[in-house]
Amino acid sequence: MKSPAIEIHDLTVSYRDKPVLWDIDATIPEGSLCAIVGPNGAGKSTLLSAILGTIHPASGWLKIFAQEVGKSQELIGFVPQRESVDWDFPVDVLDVVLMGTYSRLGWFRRPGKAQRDWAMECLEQVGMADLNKRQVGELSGGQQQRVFIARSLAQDARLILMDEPFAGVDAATEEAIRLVLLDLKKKGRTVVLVHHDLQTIENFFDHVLLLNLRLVAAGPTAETFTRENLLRTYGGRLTLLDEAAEAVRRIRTGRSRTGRDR
Amino acid sequence: MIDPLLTPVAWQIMMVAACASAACGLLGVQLVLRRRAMLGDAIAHGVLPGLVIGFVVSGSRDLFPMLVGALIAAIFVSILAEWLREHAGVDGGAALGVVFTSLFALGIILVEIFARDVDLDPGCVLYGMVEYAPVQQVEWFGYSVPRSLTPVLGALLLNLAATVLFWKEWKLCAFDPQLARASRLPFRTLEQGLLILVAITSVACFEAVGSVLVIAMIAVPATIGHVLCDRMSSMVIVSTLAGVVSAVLGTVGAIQLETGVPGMMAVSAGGLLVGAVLLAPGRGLIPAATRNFSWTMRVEMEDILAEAHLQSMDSPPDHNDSAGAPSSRFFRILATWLLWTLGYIRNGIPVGRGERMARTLLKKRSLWKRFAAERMGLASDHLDEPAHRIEHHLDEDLTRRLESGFDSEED
Ligand SMILES: Nc1ncnc2c1ncn2[C@@H]1O[C@H](COP(=O)(O)OP(=O)(O)O)[C@@H](O)[C@H]1O
Ligand SMILES: [Mg+2]
Repeated sequence: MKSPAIEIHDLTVSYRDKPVLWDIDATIPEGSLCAIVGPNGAGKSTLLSAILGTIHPASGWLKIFAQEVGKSQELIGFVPQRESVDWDFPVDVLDVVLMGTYSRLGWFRRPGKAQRDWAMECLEQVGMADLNKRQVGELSGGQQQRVFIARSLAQDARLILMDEPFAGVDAATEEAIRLVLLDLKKKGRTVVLVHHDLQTIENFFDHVLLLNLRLVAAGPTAETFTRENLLRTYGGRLTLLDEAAEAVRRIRTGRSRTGRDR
Repeated sequence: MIDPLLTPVAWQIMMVAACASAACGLLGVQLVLRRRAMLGDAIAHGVLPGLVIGFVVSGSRDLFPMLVGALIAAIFVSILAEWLREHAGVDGGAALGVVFTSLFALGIILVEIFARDVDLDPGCVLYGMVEYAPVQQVEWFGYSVPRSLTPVLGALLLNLAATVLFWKEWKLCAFDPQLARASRLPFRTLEQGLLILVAITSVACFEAVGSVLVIAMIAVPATIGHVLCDRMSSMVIVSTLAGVVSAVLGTVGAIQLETGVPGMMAVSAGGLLVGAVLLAPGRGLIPAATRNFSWTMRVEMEDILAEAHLQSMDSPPDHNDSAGAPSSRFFRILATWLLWTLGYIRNGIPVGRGERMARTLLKKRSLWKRFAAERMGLASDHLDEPAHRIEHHLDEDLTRRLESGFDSEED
């Protein structure tokens, strides 16, 4: 087994006095594509914040590449949830992507030609180079998502976190993100992303983390992404329960068919 | 009356006011981008008790102890504001409102109790005394300038330096705090530093222009910049200029109308803001309405011309949406009148430019119908209605591509 990119031990996170994550223990191997799955309010975004180090655990610890999160100098690529971005902010597409280069620039230095070329290259990868002068608010939802993906590429980090990158995007964007993820995987980067579309998980992600305030299960997709685990993850919410059961049924039937075709 | 721009007194008032506005405007940009313009308000208010305590402790109207007291109070408020935000509710806005109004009230009471004998009156605190700026002069390199220019100009230079030096760090902190922290930037220090600058600026400017104006000049010019600009760099420039222009208009207006300078400055800034909201290119209310109107008119005119053209060729008119909402009938009448006035249509027949427009539209219509039927496989009885809407949106480039698409296939 590869060395872990992220180790989470006995992690509890709370907002003021309300704990939103309890006793999480998980290991995410380096070079894996890992999906975090769980219902709304399960603490998925909170877990990403804890990995980023922007929120301090109430107890337990996290390590990234064998270093504790608070002390690590490791850069982490980050794609925020779309709702948390201020789309009226006066920045254009290139500005946003250039933000990915800031942490390597150091104090008082402005991004120069090298950084701009690199940012354009990253935009090229997601098919957004033509729109580099647009204000971010004037883009479609999918294009906005691609800009932030490009920014995380510009950070050139070993570990990249994405909060619901596939939420509400068009088919072209979905395809673009998919290609980017495969490319990152090929380069040995570790990508952890919050994902909602249960049907695409089996074929695409090699690791899953099922979360609902507590950790339901974590591990390689084949062993972890099971019907029982999904029902436990979405349990207690009737509609979601049905949705999960339905999704599992479709996955099972769909997979066994395509599996035989190939 | 003498031209106010020519009197040195007016120039000096204007200079002090302009520097104060620019200093506030620069920081206002940072606060407005963080949606925290309210904080400028809180700090400017919270300064008051500190100022009075400084006055009481030193027992004199010397500037220095008062400024120190005010600065301590302002820093206290800014730290309190941060603390409230983290520990009391989503943004602590409400709690902050209670705290700073209480502090302000405390300040007013202190003024009433301790300062009754000396002329430190609440009015002066609220509205400043920029009109008296030229009364006290100091020497600068042989020039005589108003004494209150020193702190105001100092604040301006300080804010300018900070804006330039921490440009990308502040930008990242404002736009994406999570990434800023994850990038190992000293996020807290940067944000606290900003608040301390707000504190320094409100203290430095408040003596010159009063706390009410400090609040206005932090919030309003930056909001103008936000409305008008797409980039942070242009927003900083426009906001600063908006502050300076408000100061100039305020001074000139106050002298002309013989009213107070700070009041006129606030009014000017407000007027500029209304203007920006109405006229901002692209986003403003008036340009948007104009665009909408001219688009509607163009569609109506093209439709009328095409119909008339078909009729004059004895072809059956191919769409009849003559009914419709009263508003669309209004546009139709207006369009008909306009066509007649422009001479695009004579005796019901499109002529000259009008004829060309009619032909172009009909060509686009048939191209689109063909494209939709052949390439997208839409049933032909579904085609007319969308074609009548889409045809107006086909620009020259698209039309050419549609045409060449068919041509290359026929080769
Ligand atoms: N800043 C915050 N302050 C207080 N509670 C929060 C905050 N952010 C999230 N929460 C709460 O924590 C829980 C988990 O939130 P989150 O991690 O955003 O869930 P998810 O991303 O899985 O939808 C939710 O109940 C939410 O209300
Ligand atoms: Mg979330």
